[in-house]
Amino acid sequence: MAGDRLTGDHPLVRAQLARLDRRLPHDLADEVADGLRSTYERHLRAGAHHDSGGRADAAAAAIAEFGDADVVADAFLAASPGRLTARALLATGPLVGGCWAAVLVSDRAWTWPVPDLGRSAAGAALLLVVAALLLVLRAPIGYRALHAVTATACGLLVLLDLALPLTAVTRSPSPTPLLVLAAGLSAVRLAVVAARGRAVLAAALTGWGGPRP
Amino acid sequence: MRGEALKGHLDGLLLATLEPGARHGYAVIEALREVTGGSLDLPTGTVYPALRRLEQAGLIRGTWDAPSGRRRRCYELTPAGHRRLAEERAGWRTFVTTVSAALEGRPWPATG
Repeated sequence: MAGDRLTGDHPLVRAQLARLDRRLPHDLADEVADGLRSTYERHLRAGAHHDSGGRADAAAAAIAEFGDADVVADAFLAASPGRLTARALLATGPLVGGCWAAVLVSDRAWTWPVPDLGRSAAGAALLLVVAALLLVLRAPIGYRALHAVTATACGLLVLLDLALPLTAVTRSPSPTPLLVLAAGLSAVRLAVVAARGRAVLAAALTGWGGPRP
Repeated sequence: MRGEALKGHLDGLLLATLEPGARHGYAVIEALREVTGGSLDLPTGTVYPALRRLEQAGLIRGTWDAPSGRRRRCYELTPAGHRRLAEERAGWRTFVTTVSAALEGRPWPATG
């Protein structure tokens, strides 16, 4: 871990690195550790005194310039594939959801012969997806947890976007243009989730999504 | 130039620092500090997530290196990154030409 290798650094720097290690996967924490350490070393070289007071000043100046560990960790979360995916899904969700709501109302979906368990499961899954995506955007959770929650939400959304069009097409007496539009929007969302899902899953499992294929 | 305005062009600035060749994250920060004269008003540690975001977008490629025992991630431009940098430059030149003409009361240059 980054903090373990930096025993020669000032306690202020070590404390920052320990916080980065707690909030970020090791690869990310290692990379940032190198930057903070290099900044500290530059301030140390620039300082006139290398006594304990001078080292403390250099450490404080390095942290002020580099940014607090939480600021840097938050910036990683903001740029993470999980949060970008959650933001895109929440932004487009009302459009897709509104379209499907119009389909269900206009086709009197409550008259479809669908088991109550299926209706309840679909409703619960939808609520769970929205809650999970809001959690990803708002809650102060760790990098991997954020991606695990996003991956779960994406999985549920895939099931919904497959089940809803299939059910509507088979249960609706005659597919309307609105149904075709809603199914098309679901298909686009499936494609988006498939394109981003790999990076989200990789970040959940290994800590970083890596470049797009 | 104001730091806030520079922040709006961070992606282009980062791509430009990598144009001469591969650099590790801290070398990118140093190059950025040098070209902006230290006026970039942001915590330098946040350059790392920006680099990862550019990598995620396929504009740069990162590989691990440990020349002096300390692990560092080196970045280089991809072909898509070179193209994006050229676009950023062209957009910036158009912006500068247009705003300069407007501020100095000259007729706007013909485009295309």
